[in-house]
Amino acid sequence: MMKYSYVINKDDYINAGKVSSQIKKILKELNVRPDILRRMAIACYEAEINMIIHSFGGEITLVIDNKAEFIFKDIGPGIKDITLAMKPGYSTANERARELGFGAGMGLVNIKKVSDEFNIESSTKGTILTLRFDLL
Amino acid sequence: MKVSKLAEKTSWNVYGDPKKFDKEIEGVYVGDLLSWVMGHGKVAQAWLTIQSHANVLAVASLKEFSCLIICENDGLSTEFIQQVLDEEVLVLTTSLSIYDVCKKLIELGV
Ligand SMILES: Nc1ncnc2c1ncn2[C@@H]1O[C@H](COP(=O)(O)OP(=O)(O)OP(=O)(O)O)[C@@H](O)[C@H]1O
Ligand SMILES: [Mg+2]
Repeated sequence: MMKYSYVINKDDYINAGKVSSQIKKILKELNVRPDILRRMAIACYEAEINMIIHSFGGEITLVIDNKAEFIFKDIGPGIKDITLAMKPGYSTANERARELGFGAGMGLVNIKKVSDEFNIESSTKGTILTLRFDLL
Repeated sequence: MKVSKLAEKTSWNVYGDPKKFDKEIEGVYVGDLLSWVMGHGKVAQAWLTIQSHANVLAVASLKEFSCLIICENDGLSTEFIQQVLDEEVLVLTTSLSIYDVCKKLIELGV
């Protein structure tokens, strides 16, 4: 089993996507099938960006054995209405994020579409997004 | 068409070494909303956008686009150029509108 952890900081636009790029490199070296790797990269990127633009910061953990599991855990403010947040086009992204091209309200939709298992829990204390990918 | 060929046939500015990448362009995707591009773009496409910042490079690299064509652009910041060289992305820039870039690409048979 292998475990990787990364810290994500609020509003860290400069480094946005860096962790996803790093994880993609690791997966490539582990010879993860290209189509699976691509799906994982999309999910990881969207979740990483969400932590940067919507949360107070948190941690990304990737555990790999015969499958891959991502845990995106942040320290708040949480998602009030998850059903609403999952709707295509729904976004609370601020002006700054929108200027950079974020805020289509498609991130969570993309993540759900590409992952084999998707689970999200949220309270004012934070959001935990858990994703699983079959590696075969 | 190879990206190197496109770079040669147009007078667009190139950042990164097209020979080093020498990738085949397989279709084109146009868009500025990053998660939309993330969800709909396909490997090896040329991506047309007007955005020029680090997050665009992250998307282009993660999606494995053959190249990024930044349209309606009149100069990249040195900071951005350095980021282009750090990421494995080939960037072309032009002052042409997205529409005119599309016309050019069609004319060239991309
Ligand atoms: N980690 C998080 N913490 C708090 N709120 C979140 C978090 N992730 C998502 N959200 C909420 O869910 C909404 C929808 O997220 P989603 O990723 O689908 O779209 P977006 O981030 O707004 O835009 P896009 O991803 O298309 O750039 C967000 O606008 C935000 O309100
Ligand atoms: Mg998002």
